[in-house]
Amino acid sequence: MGSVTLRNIRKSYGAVEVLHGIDLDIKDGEFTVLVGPSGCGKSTLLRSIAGLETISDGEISVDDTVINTLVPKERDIAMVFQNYALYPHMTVAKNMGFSLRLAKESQEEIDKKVKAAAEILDLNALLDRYPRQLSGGQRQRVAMGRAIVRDPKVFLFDEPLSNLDAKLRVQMRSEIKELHQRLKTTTIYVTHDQIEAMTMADKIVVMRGGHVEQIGSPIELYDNPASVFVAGFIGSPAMNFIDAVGDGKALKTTTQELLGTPNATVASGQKVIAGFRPEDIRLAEKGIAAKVALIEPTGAETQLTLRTENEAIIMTTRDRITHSVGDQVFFEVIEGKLHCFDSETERSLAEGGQAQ
Amino acid sequence: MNEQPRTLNWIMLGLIGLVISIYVLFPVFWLFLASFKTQPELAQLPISFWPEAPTLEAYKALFSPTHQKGQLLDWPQLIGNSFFIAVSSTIIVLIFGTLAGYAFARLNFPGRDLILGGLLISRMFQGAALLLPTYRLMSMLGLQDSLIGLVLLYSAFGLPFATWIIASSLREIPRELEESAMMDGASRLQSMVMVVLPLATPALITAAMWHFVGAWSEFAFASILLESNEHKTVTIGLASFVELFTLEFQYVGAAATIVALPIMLIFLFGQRYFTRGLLAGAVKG
Repeated sequence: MGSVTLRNIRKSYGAVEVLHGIDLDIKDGEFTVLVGPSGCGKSTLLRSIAGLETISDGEISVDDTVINTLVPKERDIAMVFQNYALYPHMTVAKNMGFSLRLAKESQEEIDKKVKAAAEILDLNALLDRYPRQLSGGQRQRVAMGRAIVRDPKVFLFDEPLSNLDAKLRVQMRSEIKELHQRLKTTTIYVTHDQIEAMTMADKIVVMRGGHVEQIGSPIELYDNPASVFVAGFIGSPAMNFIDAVGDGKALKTTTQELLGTPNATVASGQKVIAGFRPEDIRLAEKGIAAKVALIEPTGAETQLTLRTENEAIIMTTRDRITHSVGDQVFFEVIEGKLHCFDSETERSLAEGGQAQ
Repeated sequence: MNEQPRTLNWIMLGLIGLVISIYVLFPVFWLFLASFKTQPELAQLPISFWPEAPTLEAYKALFSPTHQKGQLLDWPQLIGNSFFIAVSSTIIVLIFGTLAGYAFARLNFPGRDLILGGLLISRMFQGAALLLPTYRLMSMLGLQDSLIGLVLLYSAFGLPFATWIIASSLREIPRELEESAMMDGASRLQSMVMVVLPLATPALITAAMWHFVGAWSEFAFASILLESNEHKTVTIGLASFVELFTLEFQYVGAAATIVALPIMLIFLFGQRYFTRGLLAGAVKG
């Protein structure tokens, strides 16, 4: 068991508050990803859960036991660090068995558990090597092995893949996810990479400036972003945003071109920010006029940059494109895919968008 | 392509190194050779370079306590005293230097950097300036003519530099390693002993070597603080030998060789740690 509850977590360094009251419920076995730009407080929050940082206010509980006054060793939480933090003077086996040794388990028991963990992570052949003799991916696996031998209540990962090259990152991403599906240990994972968040998480927590911006499943966040920030952060290429005005039930651009009906009720004349994802627009006979500014084929799909009078709009399509740069085209937003956000607060105007 | 000029460069550098080595080491080597010569050979002209009939007489004489010209020089005792002082003060310096170094490297306390800098200031005083005040201080404490007194004194002199070396090396050890150990269930002390210190071995060895050599070869303070014969150290013994045996130079050579031996051994075996420790932090490894 390992459910984690955060209540009103605040953290200050001197007069500067970096976490402004975080509330979060993580169910047992859930894979939760904390994501946000650097400086949003996600690592600080993770380190607070680990016990490596003290919090200024609030309560952290695991399985209804308040742990925020406990030192790390008493929390039954394991952590994988960004730079792996393997002990350079110990072999892989010693690294993995270190926590068991500290727990005064018998050598026999240690060997058994290390072996079992090595089996899972395919590290058997490397047990006698030293960290310096391992590749980045192998080090990463040892760091995970060190966490799983203990069978803790919660795993914490602090940007574990950011030191790997792109290809390895994708591979390790799948390995971590598979590992989680196998062990079902509650996992809290910090990253600034929204793709990692989308692909791995059961639940994503988007953070910004020490606040939680939105919590939800990857698809919830993608389909119903609660703010311009979340809408722009989740998804690549990012959502297009343009200023728009309510007109009856519909939205019009500032140059009076019809955008479509948004996912919220907007008063006529109300100024809003309209948002639509690159894959939610298509070229049409009529609609918003634009010029093709850039064509970037990636094979499976093609990314177009369309220049309207005021903005550059990104569009992706799986269709083959016959246009060339400079052509005059028209595009429209697919029905039901038009988001709209308050132009002041930047929160979504859709039902439920005010929550969180 | 440019293999040849490179080889030439190496030969030139090697030659320069050789010349410097001979220039520096010749007197030492001369003394070493003298220790195997006999009295008449040392006195004869022309001077012989290699001992004609190498003998260990001088060494034997050194280790059979005898009255030499009315003064008792018990070399086993002198060596024992020097070892006791150097080893004890090295242990003290290592223990406290490590604890202090760790605190300076890892803990946040007001005035930390100022105090760490201040430690180095104590190294800027010329030793001679401290001779008299130290003598007064040690007399007041009743610690003159005592080995313990010298141990404490050398430890006090050695601690700042040792602390400084150890602190700068500990700063190079990533914090995450300790945090990782703590997550693995270690207390701060455990993480320091089991993770940090093994990684700081080069610095610890450097600090220990540095201090041992200094304590072993210290002369000025030992000579004013130690009075009785049974408390004297090798450096004092060597100095009195130079006075006593102006002609029987083989004794001086033998004594000097024995005094230099531990230091040579230390550098021989510790060399790789020594350079690594002092350079720690110079470049990112």
